[in-house]
Amino acid sequence: MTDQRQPGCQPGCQPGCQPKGLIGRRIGLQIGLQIGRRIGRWIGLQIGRWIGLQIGRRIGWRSLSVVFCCVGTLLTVSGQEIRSHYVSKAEADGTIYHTFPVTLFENSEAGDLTFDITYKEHREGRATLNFTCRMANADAVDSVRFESGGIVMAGPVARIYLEPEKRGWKHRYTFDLDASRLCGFFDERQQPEVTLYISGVPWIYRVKRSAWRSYAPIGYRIFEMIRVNELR
Amino acid sequence: MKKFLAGLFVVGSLLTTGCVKSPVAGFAYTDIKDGMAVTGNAGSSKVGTAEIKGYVGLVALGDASIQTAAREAGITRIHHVDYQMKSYVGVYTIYTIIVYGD
Repeated sequence: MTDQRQPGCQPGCQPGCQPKGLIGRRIGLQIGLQIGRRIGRWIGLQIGRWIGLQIGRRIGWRSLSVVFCCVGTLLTVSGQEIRSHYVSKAEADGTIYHTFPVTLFENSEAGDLTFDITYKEHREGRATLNFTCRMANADAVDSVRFESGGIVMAGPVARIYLEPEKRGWKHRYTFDLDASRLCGFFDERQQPEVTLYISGVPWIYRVKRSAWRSYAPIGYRIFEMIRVNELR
Repeated sequence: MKKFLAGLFVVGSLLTTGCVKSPVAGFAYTDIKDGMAVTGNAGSSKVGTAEIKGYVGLVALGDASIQTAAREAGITRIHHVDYQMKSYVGVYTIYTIIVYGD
């Protein structure tokens, strides 16, 4: 788990090595990404401007702005409350809580990582974190490490399923963790990251800053609420 | 043209809100949760979700089947199924299936 080889290294190479062609591939990928983003943004802007003008001419800017204000207000108000981000159900052996899937981490090569957390009371404080990621091949993830500030949640993962997609494979895993660390994990001041280990090779997922800033306080409040309810 | 666009918007919005199984749904804003099914299996320790998203009542994408939601959490014995629906003036709609089980 401490092997710091780069993704794409051949088996047997030394830690810190740069595989042949990797630097060139990364530079090419970055340049391609930047050009693609700029072209996509420009096209999107032009289409959006044209549609906006056409709708504005036909419906009238006043009524259109009222609709957008209503939708914006509803989205903002619903975004600030935690109720829409989790579900809970009281059962005979304790309440079960579940946070809806959220995408807060990304890897420039592999893509996004989406996770959700399930917690049931009176299960020795253990929570289940299920996550989805996409990889070019079907090599299974061995273990995972979630780190935020001084809080580390790491351990082996169990596979739920692997599914081929248009490009690569969709991976779904489950991971058992100590729920008492979740409040500390969701600290908006931190820059957390997730590391997946595939045959000892680490794949690092960096946090999406804006998504983290908006979700971390919600995550904190959900697990604080669970802690307080269980203490009763 | 103005009437056509307005009609399209209203029909799309009504179609979107009309897919709600609940007897109560709002045109301007909907945020509801409801029960869908219960089985005789005991207790639940896992929860799986699956969702469909709809845009302006014209485009809807996703897979909100019970099977998909159960598979997302590795559930093999379903205890009960809920669903929730959110709709903002029919412009943006999310329909989520929530499966509880073991």
